[in-house]
Amino acid sequence: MAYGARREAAAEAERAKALQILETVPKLRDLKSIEIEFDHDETGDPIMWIWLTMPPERHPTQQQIDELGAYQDEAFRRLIDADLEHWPHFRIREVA
Amino acid sequence: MSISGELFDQAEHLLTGYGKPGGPDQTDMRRAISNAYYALFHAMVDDAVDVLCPRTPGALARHFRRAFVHTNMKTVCKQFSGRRVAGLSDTMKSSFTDPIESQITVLAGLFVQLQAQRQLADYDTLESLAVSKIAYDVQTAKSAWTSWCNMPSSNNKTAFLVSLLMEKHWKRD
Repeated sequence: MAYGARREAAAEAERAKALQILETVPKLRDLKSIEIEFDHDETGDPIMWIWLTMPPERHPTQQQIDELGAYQDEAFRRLIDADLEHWPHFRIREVA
Repeated sequence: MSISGELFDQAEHLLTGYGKPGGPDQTDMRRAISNAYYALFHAMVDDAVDVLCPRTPGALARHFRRAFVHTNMKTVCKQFSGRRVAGLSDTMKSSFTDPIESQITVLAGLFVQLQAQRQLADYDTLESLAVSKIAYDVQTAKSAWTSWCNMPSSNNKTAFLVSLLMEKHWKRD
């Protein structure tokens, strides 16, 4: 298998593993979907953006903020414990 | 008040939207997350300079601060937040004792997270930031900073601060 194809296969395996881990995290209320995008940070280190699709909220309550935080923290901890190549970072895509 | 405290205060003020009917706008949130990142950066650098740099001559500390490199600090922080200290240089590994205090691991993890978020906020003008995420990131960073400030001195705390500057050099050996 060519180097590029091997890298792609490894990335897909990591995506599947990350999604499997995220499935084990208690569900976040209002979370519509999760997508993973591979990228590099500004220093060239491999990272994964974990896109959480949520409804738009201009004035979130403290409870909504805390629930998002609890989900993000737990997901981060489980992904880090899995020792993945790509460092997890979270982003939110607001869709009505 | 320290520069970190002032940066957090300003970040919180920005996130109130200061009376705007739609709440904080994108620029407010961009500045807030940048403030939170730099609050952690300056807190760590301030404490590292206290550990590493003599108090006299006074001008030395100002120059000394400039030796800290964001990228190198991130590399060290990843080791701690990921509990992968096995990846540290032998010099650093021998300087730590288990368990590493949560004030260090939490602060380190947030530094890595916020460095990437700040890059987005400051350079990706197409990124649409969500109030809930920015609010959580700022609150969590402030909480981690407060815990760090209240953390008593320890060998691990000193070793962590030293590693922020020195690990790159020791890792090379």
